[in-house]
Amino acid sequence: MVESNNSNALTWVLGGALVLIGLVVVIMLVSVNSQADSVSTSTTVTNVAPTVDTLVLKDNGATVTGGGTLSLNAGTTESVTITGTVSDDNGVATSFASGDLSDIEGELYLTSLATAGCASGTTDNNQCYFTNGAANCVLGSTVDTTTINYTCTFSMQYYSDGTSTGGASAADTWTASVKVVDDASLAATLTQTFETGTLLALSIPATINYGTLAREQSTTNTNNQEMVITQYGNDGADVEVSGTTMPCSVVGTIPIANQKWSLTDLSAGAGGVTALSGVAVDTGFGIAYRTLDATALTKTLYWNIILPNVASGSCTGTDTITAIAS
Amino acid sequence: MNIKVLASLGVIVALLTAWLLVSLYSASRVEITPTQEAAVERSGGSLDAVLEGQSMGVSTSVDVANKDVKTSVTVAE
Repeated sequence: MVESNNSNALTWVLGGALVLIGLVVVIMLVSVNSQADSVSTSTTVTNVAPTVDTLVLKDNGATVTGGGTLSLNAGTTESVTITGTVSDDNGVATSFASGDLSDIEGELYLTSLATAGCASGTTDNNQCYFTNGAANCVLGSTVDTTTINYTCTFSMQYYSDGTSTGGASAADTWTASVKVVDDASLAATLTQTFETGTLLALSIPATINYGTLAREQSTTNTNNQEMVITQYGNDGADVEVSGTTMPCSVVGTIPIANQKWSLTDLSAGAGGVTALSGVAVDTGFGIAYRTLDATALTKTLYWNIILPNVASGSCTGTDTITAIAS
Repeated sequence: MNIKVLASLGVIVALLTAWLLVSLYSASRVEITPTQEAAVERSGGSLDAVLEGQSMGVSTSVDVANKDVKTSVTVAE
């Protein structure tokens, strides 16, 4: 009887041991398989090209829509900006040193040039503006982890080619372009066309001082007055002239017609001079478009005077110069 | 069956169950570290302009110099 009890206990122990061994085997298999999964999870995210999502052209803060006209500023520069957002699924940051973006380039150029004609280092204020880098094409705040704002700033000169009626490139348009580049040199570009308005503007000296002359004296090409007029716009221009008599402080008056104007350096008595009158007259001045960045464009209108026999003191008057389209 | 054997078996089963649960929990936490294939760290007014149609008054001036006029008269004897 005792022997039978011992045999049953041994059977239970052996059975239990077999169950345990089975459980251990199952657990080991599960564990090994689970660990294998964690090892195989290393992955590589492929680089993708960035995109320029939006481009907003602004003329001194006012939006210029596609095909709209940008107005230049007489005699100085106009602040032009391009703003918008760019995206990169590999991540963006507020600095080019971080994130996947390496550069943003902004360009304004005559459309006929194409972007290849307006690359870095070829700036021509008549037809091409290029900007990039941290100074003039900057990243702004992030929209989210893959999208960020940008702003490119330009100073557009008053003599940039006009693409409206009367402009130097009336048959052309301008293109505003933004290019974004990532760390793998993948790039994307977005463009918008616009027009530059025709700006007729001149800088005209405020005085003509003939100096001190004697009665009945006439000026010559050695002492006449040179009125240097400067192109302040992007349109060819003429000027009209008219004048008044010049009463003298002691005695006498200098008639209007005693002042003479000419387009070349002549003396008062020369055949090519024209007597001033009280009615505005087109001089045919014809100042052209400015094309040189380094040198302002000027043209000279020459003034002579013939003093009458009766005149004394200081004689003063006013001439009127009017800018008109050529 | 001896109660001590059953207790031992229970303890062993509990330990093995705990081990199983810990293993499964660890296996479920998979860390994915994305790497970018090609990403590299980089070190770093207007002025006095006369516009179209506008006129500008230009002051003109000239000073007339006094000219000495020599006068003479001859008185007849």
